[in-house]
Amino acid sequence: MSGARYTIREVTKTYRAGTPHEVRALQKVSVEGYPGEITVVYGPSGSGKTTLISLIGALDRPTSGTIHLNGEEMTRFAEPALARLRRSQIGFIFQNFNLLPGVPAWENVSQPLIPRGMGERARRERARELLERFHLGHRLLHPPEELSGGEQQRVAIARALVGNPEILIADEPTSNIDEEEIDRLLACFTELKGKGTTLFVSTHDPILRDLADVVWHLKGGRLIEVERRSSASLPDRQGGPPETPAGGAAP
Amino acid sequence: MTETTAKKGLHPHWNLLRFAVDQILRHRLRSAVVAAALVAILTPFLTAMAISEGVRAESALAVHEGADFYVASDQFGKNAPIPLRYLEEFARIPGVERAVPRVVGRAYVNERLAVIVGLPPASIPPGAGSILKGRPLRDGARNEALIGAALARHGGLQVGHAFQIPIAEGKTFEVVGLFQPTVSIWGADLIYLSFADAAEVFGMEGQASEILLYIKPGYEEQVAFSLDLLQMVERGRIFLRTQNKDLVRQYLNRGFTLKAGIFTALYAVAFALAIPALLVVSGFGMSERRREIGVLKATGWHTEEVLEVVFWESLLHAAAGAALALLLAMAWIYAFNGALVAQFFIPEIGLLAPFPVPARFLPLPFLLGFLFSVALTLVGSLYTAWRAAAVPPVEAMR
Amino acid sequence: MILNPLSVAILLIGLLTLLLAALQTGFALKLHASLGPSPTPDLRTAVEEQTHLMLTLAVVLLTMRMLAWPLFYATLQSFVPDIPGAMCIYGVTQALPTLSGALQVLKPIGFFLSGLWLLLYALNRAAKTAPLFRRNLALLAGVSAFLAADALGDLFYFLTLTPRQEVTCCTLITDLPTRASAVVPRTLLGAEFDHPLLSLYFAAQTLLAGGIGLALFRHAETSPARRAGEGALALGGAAALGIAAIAFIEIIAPRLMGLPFHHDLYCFIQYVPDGSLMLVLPLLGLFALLWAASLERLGRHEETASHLKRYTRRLWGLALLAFVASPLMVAVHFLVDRWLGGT
Repeated sequence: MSGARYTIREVTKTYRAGTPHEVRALQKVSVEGYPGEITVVYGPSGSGKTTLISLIGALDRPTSGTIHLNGEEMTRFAEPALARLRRSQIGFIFQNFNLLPGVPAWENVSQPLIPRGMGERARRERARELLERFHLGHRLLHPPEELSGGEQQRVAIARALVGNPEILIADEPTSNIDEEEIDRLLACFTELKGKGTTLFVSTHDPILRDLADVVWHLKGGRLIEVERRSSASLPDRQGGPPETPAGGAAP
Repeated sequence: MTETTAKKGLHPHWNLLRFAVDQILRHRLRSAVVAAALVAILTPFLTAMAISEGVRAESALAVHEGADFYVASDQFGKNAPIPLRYLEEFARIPGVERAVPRVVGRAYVNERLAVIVGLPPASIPPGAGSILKGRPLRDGARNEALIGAALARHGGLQVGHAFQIPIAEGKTFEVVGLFQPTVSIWGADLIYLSFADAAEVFGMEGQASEILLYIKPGYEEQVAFSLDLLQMVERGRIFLRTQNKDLVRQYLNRGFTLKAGIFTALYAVAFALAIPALLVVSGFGMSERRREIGVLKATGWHTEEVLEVVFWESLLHAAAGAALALLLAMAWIYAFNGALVAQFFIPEIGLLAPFPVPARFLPLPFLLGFLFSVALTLVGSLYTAWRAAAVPPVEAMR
Repeated sequence: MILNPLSVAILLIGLLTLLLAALQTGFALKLHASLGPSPTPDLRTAVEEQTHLMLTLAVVLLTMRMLAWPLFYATLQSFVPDIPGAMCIYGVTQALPTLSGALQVLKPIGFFLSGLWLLLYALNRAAKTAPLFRRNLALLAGVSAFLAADALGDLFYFLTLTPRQEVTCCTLITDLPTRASAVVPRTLLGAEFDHPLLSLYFAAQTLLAGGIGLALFRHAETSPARRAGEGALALGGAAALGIAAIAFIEIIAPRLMGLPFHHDLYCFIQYVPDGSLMLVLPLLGLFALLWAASLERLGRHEETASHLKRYTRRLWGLALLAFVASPLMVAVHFLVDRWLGGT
């Protein structure tokens, strides 16, 4: 477990458990994620990608199994502790961007800072800094309806980064943008990785696989393969990452 | 960026309050519906409280302008006419400045119920009103009448016109003047006659409805004692019924407080019934908000912070509803003369009062209205607040 | 029943509180029973969702009780013209003295218990695994039942109080030389106890403030020592509040009202605009000390240790502020009165 950012053991997630409509989204997944890596959670629709990154991102709890983050068992955490985790360590980029309609870009970006007690001027400055970094300095006052799909995604990325998270989670980030924006996105992810951010990206888009240090292949809620793409990008750590699926998850 | 770098103290709450304001402005339709529901409930209440306070204030003014003691005879616990022979006796009591006989009765004049007051013309209190047209009654003159402006308007009477009072057959009175009463609720339908004329109209020759005693300052207790002595001397022949200014004031106050209380009680029932309505109204647009709240929680907002925003919204709705209701209550009184509500506090005035309905907007009823408003929105939006706060963060991923 | 807008308002709030508090008690007990020591993640998520409903209910309940507290006195004040013999709130309370006395004691206790629950709630949520969850639920059930009883008391009191009850005015009880509040200082300090009692009041408040300051400055690290310190401060706070109460009735209130022989606190809060604040502050100070002491016992857990220390310090800070502010306000009033008297 040493050196791993995430240690996932025997994680199962069942929706509507005990009812005739029971859905087993994840079944006994065991795997480890390492700091400073780009991990791509890859699989077809309905394979359990979104469920897995929701659990990693502390948005939900598994039905059984454990997840350790930096050595702490986050599955034991109560809801407020999970919220603190999301606030201080994790940033999200949602598939549909999920920006507040009718709200200027800078306010969308700074919205996670509101309950932290940061004054409006400081929030605006922080948002401007991020939006300028993503070439949207001229769009500060524009609401999402006046932005293109790519611009919306850059606003969503800026929002995810506004709290300087150590972990960034992106759900199907290429599904709503064009090729030019995909190139920008890949560059952005590479830059973030270079700064030490740990990224988890769920996708069924093969382009993103090329970016990955590790690819977790999911199918039917099971982890079928852990593919390490490049040894050159291995992070500096004690103990290496497993080259094969961990635990009993191998097919 | 860690939590420690942000300012603490009241800053997060201030930010959440401002966010709540933004949310209210963003969801304008929902906010407007909630505020409108509150306004609809609160406006009649504030209107009623203002009229109640206004009537109470005018009554207090009338009592202040009136006599210090009102003495009538007592018949089975009720006021009954008092023989005029007591007038002299009362006037002789040390401390009594003036003793004035008064006849009060009600009769139809030009198909409108009027209050007829008979007083010696010189004893009509100067603070009772101002003469708009014509002149006051003359001492010793008979068959003259001074008429309230509202009654004159409705009865089509002008200075110089003649009119009859059906219960006084064969008697014709001439309108010598029109007056605007200081106390609108009682003075609007008032007719002043000379004491002798009024006694004749109501068949009370040799008697008065009551004798008004005006007392020199500081002599109240002595006069009351003298009246008690007189009562003892007269035992068996007459029972005197004496009411002083304080007692009258107290009766009036209690009467209006009770009426206001009854009105508030009816309102409390209406408020309680409005809670389910508000529950439905506050839930408007909840489905569209679920994803937004999910995003907030996914980006690190705590449930308590979402709850705080929802409560701020409720409080702001309550404040806006109460303020708007106050403005509308003012409009109801000043533009529509308190129609439909004034009848509860002023009997027999019909749908539209023929005089400006008195009203006073005091802070207490407004605070009470705000309190009701807060209680209503808090309880009414309780379920909605919970549903909002309980949205799981994973909602953002759907 | 004496019917007026204020009495209707307090009855409405009482009824709503009673219903919500009864609901809350039931919810809390049900959740407490359903949640074992090690719940499954799914059960935990479901229970947490229910907890949000309880928090929402609790916030509404607390808001309503906080509104009901000043409204209670405003309503009593509005009854003065209806109760023969009454000239202030004191007279009205004499109509049903036992019940009105009990309700006046219940209200601050309700505030204290609600505050304790909120603190325990905050402490629990500050910890990672919410180790005090079940304890918190049990306390919430108790607090809700207490608030329900308080609301029920309000309903019963205001429904049974009738306008024809003859009472005695405060001057006939509180201004007598044999009044209860004068017995203790007369026994301990002699017949001329005015100056010694006033000095004792200021000395007690200063000593307590010094004690709290010392505790803040040299906060004990070990739990037993800290608990002993908290207990001692709470006892000191109770003693200082007792002395303050007697000093207010006997000396401060009559002087500030300008009625040297009138020893009635109800009149005091009517005549002196900030009088109620001066009276409430030492009570708040004592509550802060008691909250700290109770939290040390109820909130102890390895996960909460560091938070507990922080909470205790904040509560002591609040107590210090409250115990310093009240005598300071009194002193300022005395100085202003002397200055105005001099000019």
